[in-house]
Amino acid sequence: MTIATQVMDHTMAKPVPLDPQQQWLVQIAQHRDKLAFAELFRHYAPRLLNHARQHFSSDALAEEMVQETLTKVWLKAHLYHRDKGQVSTWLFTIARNVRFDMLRRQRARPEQLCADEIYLDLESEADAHSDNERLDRPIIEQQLKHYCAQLPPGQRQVVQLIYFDDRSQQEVADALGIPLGTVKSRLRLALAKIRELIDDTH
Amino acid sequence: MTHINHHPAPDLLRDFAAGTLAPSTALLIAAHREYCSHCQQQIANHEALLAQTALEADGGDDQPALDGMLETLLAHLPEHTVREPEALPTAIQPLTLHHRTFELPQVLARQLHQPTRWSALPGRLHQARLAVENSHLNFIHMDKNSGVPTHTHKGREYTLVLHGGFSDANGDYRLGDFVCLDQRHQHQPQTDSHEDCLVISALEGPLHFTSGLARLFNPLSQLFFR
Repeated sequence: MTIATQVMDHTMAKPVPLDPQQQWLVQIAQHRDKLAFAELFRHYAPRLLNHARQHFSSDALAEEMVQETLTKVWLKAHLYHRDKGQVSTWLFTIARNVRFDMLRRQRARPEQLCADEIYLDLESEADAHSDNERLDRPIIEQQLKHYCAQLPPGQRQVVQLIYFDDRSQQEVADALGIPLGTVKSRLRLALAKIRELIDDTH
Repeated sequence: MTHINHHPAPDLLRDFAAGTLAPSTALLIAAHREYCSHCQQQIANHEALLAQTALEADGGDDQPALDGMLETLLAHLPEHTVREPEALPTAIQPLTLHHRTFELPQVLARQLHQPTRWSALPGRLHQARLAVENSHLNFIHMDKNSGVPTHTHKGREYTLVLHGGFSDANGDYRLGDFVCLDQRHQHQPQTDSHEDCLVISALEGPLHFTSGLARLFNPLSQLFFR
């Protein structure tokens, strides 16, 4: 049962008294009461610190999380209402958001997607998969054939052998008498070209 | 609020409440929550439970680090209520495709800082990337009577329906439905002849197309769908 419903149930009798934690928040919100804040701090800060230490191996970061959370409690006390539930639940969500932001600050570094990563799987994909189902969607088949037709002969040949005839990259290299690296690079260029053609036509 | 049939798994809701999901996945759950009162309640329950575990046990007294902290705070806390300015709403770009505008859940709408750049995929599909920090989500629009070729996933794919609906062999998915798929599922999402469909997806690994020539998408899929 939430506090809100408890309040409803007892409206006719007498108002449900605030618990000590709620009283602290009211004192902070309405009177900027530092004694109430100190009480709240003594109650929650050790618990918060234990909680924070489960997420940060560094003591300094765990303490930062506690300090930032309790600063927010001071600033946001007026936003708490008893129908939001227990004070500890409200405080937990503030701590969670502080931690979420701290973790992102720590990790934030732009990740660059490089071409080698994009094409890394190519060989294993081609090798691992040798079923030869019919394509279910003629429209895609038709469009792709259309794009393939616009590739330079060397690239078209490689795409043809690998994707239409289901040959492995090594087989194609052997059959054409060219290095495996050349097969890979032609494939790479072909796929980039197809991507370009698809974008251009729309 | 619409009636939702497909929900995130309980552990996802719990991790969302705990704040341990990747930002992109967390955004999807937050968007689903806007549609779904059931999950709103579940998340609130998880929060209460997690709070109990984290904050109700005795903290112990041996915390010298905290003495100095209280003094510092008391010395520096602002005397007056400083109403923190609400985060300035960034100019929200509507999500438009071919002169149509789609209504998005707030959490997603607030992420649209720039006009969406759609790229066309064969088969009357359009895809647009939504950067989320160092990751991203994908909007995927399927026209009426269209679909994505049969594929599996190397990782998990979370999908949320934002407009219309689609079907696959496992069921029908409508506005607000949340679908999780992984390598065990081979599926072929498909729209019907009446309505198009807009979804947003978070993909942990690339799509893996399994049908015939569409395998040509496999290397490309990392460009298309990641």
